[in-house]
Parts: sequence; C-alpha cells; structure tokens
Amino acid sequence: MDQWYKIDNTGKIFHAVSNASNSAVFRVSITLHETIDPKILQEALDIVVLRFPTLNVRVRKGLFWDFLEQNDQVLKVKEETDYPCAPIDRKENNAFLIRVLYFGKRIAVEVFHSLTDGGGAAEFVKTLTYQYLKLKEENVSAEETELMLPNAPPKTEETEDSFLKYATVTNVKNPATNDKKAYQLKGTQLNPPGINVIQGFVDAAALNSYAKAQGTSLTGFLTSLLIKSIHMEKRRRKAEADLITIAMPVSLRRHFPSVSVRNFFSVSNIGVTMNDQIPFDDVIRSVTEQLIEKTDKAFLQAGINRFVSFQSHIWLRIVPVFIKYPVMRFAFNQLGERAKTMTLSNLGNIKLPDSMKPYVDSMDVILYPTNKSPINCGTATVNDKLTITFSRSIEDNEIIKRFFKELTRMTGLDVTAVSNGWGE
Amino acid sequence: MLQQFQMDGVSSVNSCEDCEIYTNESTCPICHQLLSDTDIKTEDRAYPVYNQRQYKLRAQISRMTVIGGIIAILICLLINMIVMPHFLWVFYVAVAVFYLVVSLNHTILSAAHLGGKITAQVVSLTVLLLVIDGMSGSVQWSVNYVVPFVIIAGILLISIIIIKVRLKWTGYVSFLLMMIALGFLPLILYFSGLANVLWPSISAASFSIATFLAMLLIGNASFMTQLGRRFHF
Repeated sequence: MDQWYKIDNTGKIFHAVSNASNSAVFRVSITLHETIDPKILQEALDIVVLRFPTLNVRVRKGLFWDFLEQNDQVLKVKEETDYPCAPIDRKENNAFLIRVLYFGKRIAVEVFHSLTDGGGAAEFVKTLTYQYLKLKEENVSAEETELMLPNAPPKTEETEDSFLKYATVTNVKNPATNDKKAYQLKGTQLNPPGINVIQGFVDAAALNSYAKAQGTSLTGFLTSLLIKSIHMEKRRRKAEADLITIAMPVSLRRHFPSVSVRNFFSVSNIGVTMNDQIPFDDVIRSVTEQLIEKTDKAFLQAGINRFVSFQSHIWLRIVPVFIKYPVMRFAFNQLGERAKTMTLSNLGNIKLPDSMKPYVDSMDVILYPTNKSPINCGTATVNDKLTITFSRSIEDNEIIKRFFKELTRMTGLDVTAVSNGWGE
Repeated sequence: MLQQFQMDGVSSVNSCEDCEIYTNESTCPICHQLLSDTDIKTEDRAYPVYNQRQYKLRAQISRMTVIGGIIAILICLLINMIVMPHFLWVFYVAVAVFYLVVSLNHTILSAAHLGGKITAQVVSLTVLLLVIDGMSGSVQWSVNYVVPFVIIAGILLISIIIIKVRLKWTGYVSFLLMMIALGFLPLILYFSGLANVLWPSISAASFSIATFLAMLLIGNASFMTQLGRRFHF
C-alpha cells in the first residue's frame, strides 16, 4: 500500500466521465492457436502484474482529485462470460481496474482508461502472453526492445505522466479547441443494454498495398471508407448535418520518446463535409492531408501544452471533485463528444518477437461506445492479419454492413466476420 | 480472390451474399440470415453464449423502480388535488419515494463501496427528514435532534467498520472524512438560526473532532499519509 500515483492528465477525464452507459473500459486481446490453460495463465499473470505497477492499483477518493493506490489483493484470471468492455465491478474484481479474461484460444485484457491507453494495454497483453508461452515451455525468447520482459524490474520512466514531462508551455490562454459539431449517430439502445461486437478479419498486407495505391495509408483508407459508409447511411436516413468527423487517438510515443505505460495519447479529429457529389478520391485526399497535418509533431506538441494548461489551471485544481466531475462530464459531452461522429482507434501493426509469431493468430482492440458515439471501431494487425472490430450499443448496424460491403467491393479482398450476438 | 481467413480449427466456412462476408457461424453475424443448418461447435465459438435474460431482468427492475415511483407520486398528486387541495401532503410521498429509490438502486442493488452506501444513506435520510419537518410546519425536530444523531450514527458506523476491517481501513478514510465534515452541518444550521437547540449540534461537532483526533492518534503516520493523498491537488 506504499505506492500511490496521481491519475494522469488524460485519465482524470475518463475517471470523471465514466458511468453505466460510458464504461471507459476498453479491451485488447490476443488469440493463440491453442486453447488457453487458465491455471498457467494465472501463474503468468502473478508474475507479469508486478512488472506493471501502474496497472496493479485500485482507485481511492480524494477531495480535489481521486488517486491510484497499490492493490495488494490477487488479480485473478476469469473465464469470459460477460459482453466485452462491461463496467468493472470493483467488488467482484478485488478492486482492480483491470481484468484478465480467457475464452477458448483468446486472452483478453480489459482496462479502465484512467490507467493506460491502447499502447500500454498492448504491451501488457504481449508480456502476459510471452510469460504464458514460457510457462507452457514453448520455445519463445525476446529482447528488451521487443517487449517489456516479465522479470525485469519496473523503471521509473514507465510510471511517469509523460504529458507533464513533454509540456513546453503550461499557461496557454485559451485551452479549449474549436472543433465544429459533427453528425451524430443515434438509435435504439440494445435490449438488454450492453455492447454488441462485429469483427472482420482481412489480409493486412494486401489492404495496405491497396491503400498505398490510392495514395494513402491503411488508417487513411479505413477512415475514408468509414466516412463514406456513414454518409451513405446518413443519406438513407435523410439526416441534415454534413460534417462527418472520425476521432482518432494518436499515440504520442511515436514523436515523444516516452516509455510510460500510462496514458500518453492525443485525439485528432478528421472531418469531411460530405455531399453526394464528392468523389471517394477527394475524401481520401482530404483525410490524408488532415492525417499528415494532425499527426505532425508541432500540432501534437500544441495539443499537449493545451491539455496540461487546462488541467494545471488553479481553479480546476482547487475545486472539490463532487463539483468538478459533473462539470467535466458536462464539458466532455457537450464539447468533446459533439465534435465527433465515431472513434476509430488503430493500434497499428503490433510487433511481436519472431519466436512468438507462430503461436499467435490475431490481435484485436474493442472500444467502449458512449451515448453520443454509440458505434466505435478499433483495428489491430498482427502476423499480417488485420482485425477490424465494431462495437455498438444501439440496434442499427447498417453502417457496419455497408462498411464491410464497400471494403469487399473496392478492394476485392475477402472479409471473414464473427459477432458476439449481444442484444440480438 | 484472396483466401479468406478462417478461425483456427474450423473447416466449414459459410458466406452471406447480402453482406458479402464469410463466416464460420451458422447465421450471418451482420444480417442474421441463416446460412447453414449446422450449428457452430461450442469450442469454435468466438464469444460465449450470454444469459441475456438475467441482464434484461436487472435492467427492468431498475427501470420499474423509477417508473413505479413516478406513477405512485402522480397518483397521489391526483388524489391529493381532488380530496385535499388545500394541504399538499403529496410532498411527503415524493420525498419518501426519492429515499426508497436511492435505497434500492444505490444501497441494495449497486456494487458501491459500503462506506459510500452509509454516506448516501445519511445524506438522503437527512434530506428526507428536513423536507418532512419543513412540510409539517417546521417545528425543527429534525435539525435540532434527528439530523445530528443520524450523522453521529453514520460516523460511529464507519468507525466501527474501520476497526473491524483493520488492513482494509484506508478504503473508508474518504467516507469517514466526508462524515466528519458533515458533523459540522448541525452547528452551521444552529448558527444560521435554522436550529434552536445547541447541545445535539455541539455533540455532533465534538464527536467529529474526537473521531478525527482518534484517527490521528491510532492511525498516526499512515493516517497522515492518507490525508496527504486525499487532499493532493
């Protein structure tokens, strides 16, 4: 109980805004070729959890900010029985804000977003899988550059709040962004309330080549296709708003040399004002230009400065949480959430040690939907297999259907799909 | 055509012509059209089979509590307006329903921390009593006697739990601090003229101070550490 951590700059927002309809719990999972042995997985977890001290915590209440405290209980692996990204019941989970699940050949890690981002969770699941395979006496080995080795001592830099480290200015005058209101998806809530998941598996190398031939990246192509699919669906519904914005979490570790396992990402809003006359090539061009502009180091630096300035503001710091959290929730819903139509989070091509690759089939990321963003999309690639995961809290799945259909038609690639069938 | 991805060990692949996808499942995962009469084997499923009825039931109970409460208040309002329009006793019902809804949804059904449940009970009970007292002509029995002793009871209950749970005591610190702060409410009510009997208010404030001092003495350095963490900004 000696160790404690302030919740990092991004984590404070997730902590403030999470509720029953916005769990702020996301999932990163890895699917192997063999059925998971829960006993060995537990042994692996017992070792690995000590390597990630900022995930081995519970939340405590404070007057001005809540905080994280080392959790001395045992984090237990559980068989997956609930829908993905369900709110974490702290009582059932020994007060941990992370859960490790197994189902068939899959190891899934679900994390409350206050603790870490997709990059941090992916590192955790990679190390856990590595340790699991080691305990199964499989022939795997890894270097420190490939993954966080399970038996290495945790480093101080891995637990730092990198926002504070890399902020160059902390008194930006107007910290609010001025993103315009975007078209928002609406629909009837699933019955029972929960999260429906539809996953499509595609050949990543072939899709990447196709995207390059169109003059964009894989992320650029998927974003453009999503915008097109949403527009086609919007037109069917005769909705009026024209600006379709995809919110894209961008890992800041690529530009700022951080090894922190805590949250260190920014969100870039990629928006296109659509109409029936805009050719798809123009959508791709606009998305690609925005992606280049909004993932540029200077742009991201300005975002870090703005973010840290906002949270360093004395008025925000000295207001008690019971006043601050409702205000933050309101601002998040009215300013942050209204500026996006959907979130697309691409974990990218996840690098595994060569010796691990033969054991791994696929990896995926599942995002939690929110009231104003009831359908979200997460993608991850491993071993040239791209997994596109749509998660939704509403009944209507026409956008998802259209997306996969257009993907097949445009690229000629085959899509293999599965679903968890929740709410159907 | 490129080869479609198959789930490990699953040989049969169905295709949905409408959605233009392949799947190992017997129905299309997107449009739910039946693609094959052969059900997927349990071990080949990508996700578990959920017991959705249980979730529906839980959601229904929570929703029905709120709807039932609103209907009860509306019926009472109607009866009140017809039978006794000069005396709005419906507010007694409304505040009691509010208290019951908080009790059911937070204290009984939610997975909230026990300390939080006690604090929520003290706060909602205080609101209930203040409204009932105010409605019944403000004879001040609530602010003078009941509210101070409800707060004392809350502090006492959390203190006993802290002594009992020992190693897990830090989880209750925030709630105890909240209750200790609440212990000064009756004194504020007295000095603002809303209460007119001093000794229960003094008792509540004294009990708060005594509890705080006891925590300082017993908890010593670890309590000070906890205070530092709870008040960081």
